[in-house]
Amino acid sequence: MYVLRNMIGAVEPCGLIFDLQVIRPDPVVEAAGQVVCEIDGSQLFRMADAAAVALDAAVRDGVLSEEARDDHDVREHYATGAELIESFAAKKRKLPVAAMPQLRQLGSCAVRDSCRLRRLRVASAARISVA
Amino acid sequence: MTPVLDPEGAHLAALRRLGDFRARRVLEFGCGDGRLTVSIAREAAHVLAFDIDGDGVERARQSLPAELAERIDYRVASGKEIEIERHAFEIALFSWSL
Repeated sequence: MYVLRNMIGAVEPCGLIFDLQVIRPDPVVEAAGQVVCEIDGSQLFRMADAAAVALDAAVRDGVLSEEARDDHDVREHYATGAELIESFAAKKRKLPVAAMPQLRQLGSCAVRDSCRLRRLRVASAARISVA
Repeated sequence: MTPVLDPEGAHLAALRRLGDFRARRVLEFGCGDGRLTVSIAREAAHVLAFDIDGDGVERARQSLPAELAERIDYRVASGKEIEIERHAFEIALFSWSL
């Protein structure tokens, strides 16, 4: 993957790379502490999976070594369900049609995504040249 | 009102659990509107932050705190096209961008 190679080349030997991606399960809409519905996250997972494959290949090649992972949830907050629906109209991932009537009635709500941060260390110059 | 992403600071907290950005030269790929960039730059020596989304980068530039103006360099670019000096950074961060 050219982009990854370009970015790795910008980091000095033994420097660090942090990669932030969405992970499964599917994101959910929450309101008042309750899950209202799930959102099909497959569009984002496809890109995240491709990134993970590229990073894993760099690890296998000895260009990077993985040191740590941190899984955490992130929320995007909306004033109302109507605002959420309007915002999602322009997004690749879609809200479930069956949940639309309930979503329209919502006040303050949020979309919760699961995310993974990976810390990877760039190999020494000698190792990179071998790989 | 516009949606607000991660006001709880979960991403930044995760970055701080795994990394130390103090006095580091940082490259951020996928900076968007600079949501993470500014917090990182408060500790880092310098941040080159770029994104292919020109609107996002413009919002980042508009909201850049004056005291960090010397420390952050925002650019509109893709990961494929941007020209970066080899080994110029100690840390690279990919924000949902790879």
